[in-house]
Formats: sequence, structure tokens, C-alpha cells
Amino acid sequence: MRHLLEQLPGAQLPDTVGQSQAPGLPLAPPDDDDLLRPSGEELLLGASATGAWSGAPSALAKHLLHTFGPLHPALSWPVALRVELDGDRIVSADPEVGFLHQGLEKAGEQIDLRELRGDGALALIRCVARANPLAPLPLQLATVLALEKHLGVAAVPNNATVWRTVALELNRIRGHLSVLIHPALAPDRAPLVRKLTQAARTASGLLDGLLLGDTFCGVGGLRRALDADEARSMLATLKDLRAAVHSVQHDLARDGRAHSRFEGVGRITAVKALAHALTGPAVRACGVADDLRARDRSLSYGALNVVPVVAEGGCTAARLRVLHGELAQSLVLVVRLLAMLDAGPTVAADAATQVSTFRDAEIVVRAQALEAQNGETAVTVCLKGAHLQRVRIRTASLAACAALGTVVSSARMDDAIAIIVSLGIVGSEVDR
Amino acid sequence: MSEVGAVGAIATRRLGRGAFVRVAPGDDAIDELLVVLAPRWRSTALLLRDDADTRMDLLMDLFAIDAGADVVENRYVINAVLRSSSLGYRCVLQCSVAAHEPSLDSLVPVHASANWLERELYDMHGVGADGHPQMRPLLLYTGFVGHPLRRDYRATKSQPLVPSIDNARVPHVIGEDAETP
Repeated sequence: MRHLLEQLPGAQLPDTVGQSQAPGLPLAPPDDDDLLRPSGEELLLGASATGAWSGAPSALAKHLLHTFGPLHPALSWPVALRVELDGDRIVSADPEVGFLHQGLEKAGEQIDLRELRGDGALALIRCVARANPLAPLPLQLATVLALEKHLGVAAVPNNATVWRTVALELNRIRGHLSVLIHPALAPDRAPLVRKLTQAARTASGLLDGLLLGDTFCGVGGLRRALDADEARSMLATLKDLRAAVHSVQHDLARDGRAHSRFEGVGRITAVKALAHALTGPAVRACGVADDLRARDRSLSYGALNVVPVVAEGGCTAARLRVLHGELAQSLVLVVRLLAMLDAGPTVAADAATQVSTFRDAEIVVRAQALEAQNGETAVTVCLKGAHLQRVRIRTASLAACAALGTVVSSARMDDAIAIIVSLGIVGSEVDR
Repeated sequence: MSEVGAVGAIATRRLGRGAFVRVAPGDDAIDELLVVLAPRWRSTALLLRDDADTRMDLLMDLFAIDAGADVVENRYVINAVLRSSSLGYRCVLQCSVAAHEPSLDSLVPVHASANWLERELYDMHGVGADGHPQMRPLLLYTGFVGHPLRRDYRATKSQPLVPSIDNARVPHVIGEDAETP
């Protein structure tokens, strides 16, 4: 027992002599349950203003309270998870975030938008996109579309809208692959992992090529022209990508036990998922056919009739099934979208004819929500005249992180990383 | 429920016209805007969630817009973005609170997702949520002085990232005023 206590940070042996009510009498041996309770967490129980741990202290007597994080080698962002353990089972968990808050919304409000179509807009779009440096596209596009509503842009070139949709789907492919190759979730067969990793590299290459030169930061159209050659070379690469992904999924389906170790792990019911406003693959894995692409009015999804990929179970395995289903779906969608391109322009038309004046004395609010790879991403831009009154960034990661306590409850401690990764949480989106 | 205005019509019929300041159509992203009086904040959210014709079961976002330090009444405009997962309909429930009494009823009993959003709302704007089960800092640390997204909080203002011992003992009191810039 003493050896165990030495390994537990903050744990202390009770001072039975000092606390004795009758010094001199024979000492009663300390209770094992008391020994297992780190003293720091006991302090936390009483500190309701700084970090309340809900639950009656008496109920915790047989449980170990432990703080996981804020830094963990398997996660690229800091999160502290205060967990109450019964053996290796998590009884309850309380996530704590805010370790690297970036203040992006405040920074965005400082940007001068008087030249909205010039550097001001680009600065705002770049600022918002910093909320997710690894996958900035959904944030960029949401900001652009919100600004276009403010400007009253009458018509964006059809090709620009199609390319925006293509890029969003490539972003989904890359995002899903990066989750599927995470060491905590990857298949247990090295050849499959190698194929998926190569596919992720290919998808990244395609998307990074499109993003060069802030292509999708243009208001009213693309910032950089994309031509038919770009589409042709992309189609050739997509063929290999589809073959690789199909091969892996075929092998996993034949195996039959690919994700069996995650069945029932990190389960959340549809009712709780909706109460926590989970979106994206996390809620579709609960059997809820909620996908913004099915009702899209801003991009080219209307012509594609996207059917949400749904799985039953609400567990980590169900989330992985949704990711695989959407991966295959998005690869098909990109090919269909590229076929919709015509000979028209992709860059913005002359701004002067489209730009309305900003003389409103009232605060005008315009928002745009998009279905990103991990759920709904929305950007709200509030203008008072030409001055930015408020920039609001809504990401799926904050809702998923808030629901983490519910999702990991009753899971094993060593499954916590797999659950967190399967929810698609990006730390910088939480601490935006 | 395809035509714009259906949510507002249902809510007006159930709660009475006097509950609303304004009901207006939105834009491409928001179907409808419902501006309510503060006492009807929670009851309207509950109605929109439970009514079979609206089914606004998702609280997607909750944020404030600060009209500026020179505005006393209606300084903070609170926006709750609601969406129906089954109908796809989206509306914004809006309410204004005064600078001297920045608080609203908590939406946690209606939507669990309001828990973190209201904590963030208090962190950033100092608008409290009456009845919130665990009001404590979310993105800021205990002892952080002021509310960064208020218009009168200077963007260049700096505070120690690690609070001093004295600051750490200052309780995070709901309703404290933003520090003068």
C-alpha cells in the first residue's frame, strides 16, 4: 500500500497520531479506502467556486480520484480530465479546458473592415481559421459566406461554388483518415495502417494544393483561379485514392472483427447526444440522420442529394463505421462535383457593382453554418456600419468536449484516448 | 413547416403576443429571429423544444453581442441558436439584458449543451445564468479580472497567465463589473 501511495501524486498518509482524539491509546489502523484518496482531490471537493466535483463525498470513499492530463503524449492539445475511477472503470469525468486560450474572437473584432474586399476581409478570415490550423477550410468558408451575405453579393460564379464544395469534401476525407490512422483507433494489421496512412498523405496533398495562395479566402469567388487541368489531375489522383480506401474497407469488412474491440465503448444515446448538441459523425453514430449537407443552400450539395450516413449504437465502433461510410461517400461526391465544372470563371467578378454600403446604425448579424468533418461549424459576423461588433466561432469540438464526461462514463480508463479521438475533438477549436 | 414564420406563429399562439418584442424572418443560415422579453427566455426555449411542430431539440450556440459601454439598457444582446435535428429548421432566440443587471435564466434545464455555453458567456461577457448548476470559469482561470469580450475591455490589456496567490483566492463572483480600461 505504501508503495502504491508513493506512486500517486498528491497522496498522503493520514496522520493518525496528530488526528487522534485520544492520544496515548492504541491506534486504529487506517482504512484502505482513505489511503486511496489523494489529499489534493479532497480539497477540490470542498472548493465549489474553483472546481466543484459534484457528488456526495461519502460516495467517493471507494473510488480513486485522478487527474488525467492536461498534457498527454497521444493528444496534440491540452485537456485535463478529472476522473473518478472504480478499478479501471470511469465512474464520472469532468473535463477542464482553457489552457491555451487564443482569444481569436477578440482579435477578430480588432480588424478594420473598411476595405472589406481587401486586406480587412483576408485578415478576418485568416484570424478565424486559426481556430483549427490543421483543417482551416470550413472556418474560412463559413467566414467568407457570412461576409458575402453582409456585402449582398448577388451571385458567386458557379465554378467557385463547386470548387468550394470539392475542397470541403476533400477536407472531410482528410479529417476522417487522420482519425482512422490515429494509433488509438487504427486497425491492428500493419498493412492496412500503411495503406490508410498513404491515403491520408494523398488526400492532404490534394487539399494542400488547392489551399495554396488562400484560394478559398476570396469574397464573391475564389481568390486564385482554378482551371480544368487542376480538375483533371485531381481525378487521376482520386482514382488511386478510391482504390486504396476501397481495398482497406474490403479487408476490414472481410475480417468482420475490425472494430469489435470498440463495440459498446464510449456509448452515448441519441437523446443525450442531442441534448449536448453533438453534430457530425458523433450524432449520426447514434442513429440520427442529421447532416447539414442534406439541406444545404449555400454550396453545391443541393444537386447531389446527399443522404446522411447513419449507424446504430452510439459507441466508438459506430462512430468508426460512420467515418468509413462517409469516406467512401465523399470520394464519390468529389468525382461527381468535378463533373459539374464548366468553362465559366472561378474568381470574383468586379466588386464595385456588388458591394452594398455599410451605413447601418444598427448591428447587423449574418451567420453561416457548414457541415465540417467533425460536425457543424458556424461563424457569425456582426457589423455596425463597417465596424466589426462581434465575431463568433462555433465549432463541433466544444460541444463534443462538453459531452465528454457523459461519453467516457463507464468506459475503461485505457479507452479514454480512443473515445476522445473518435469524437473528432480539436483542442484549438475549444480554446479558440 | 416549410414557410418562414411558422415558428414565430406557433410561439406567439402559445405564449401570447406580449411575450415577444419582435418576430422576423432571417437569412439563408437562420430561418427566423424571435426576440423575447427576459422573463420568457427559458419558457420560450422549452416550448420550442417540446412543441411537436417546432422540435428545436438542439441548442447549437449561445453568445452575446455587446452594444457598447455607452448603452445602459439592452447593452448585451444574448443569442441562442436553436435547430431542429429532424426538421432542419433553425432560429435564433434573442433577448437583451441591461448593463447593471446582466443575467438571464439558465437554459441548462432545457438543453444540457447550455452548461458550457453559459459558463463561457459569463467568462467572456459577465452575463450570468440564474440557476446554472456549476457556474465556474471555463476558458479563463479563477482570478482573471474582467470579461475579455466586453467592448470596454482593451484588447491590448495583459494579465498574468498564472494567477498570483492573492488573485487565486478571489472568488469568481457572478455579477462583478468589468474592470475599467
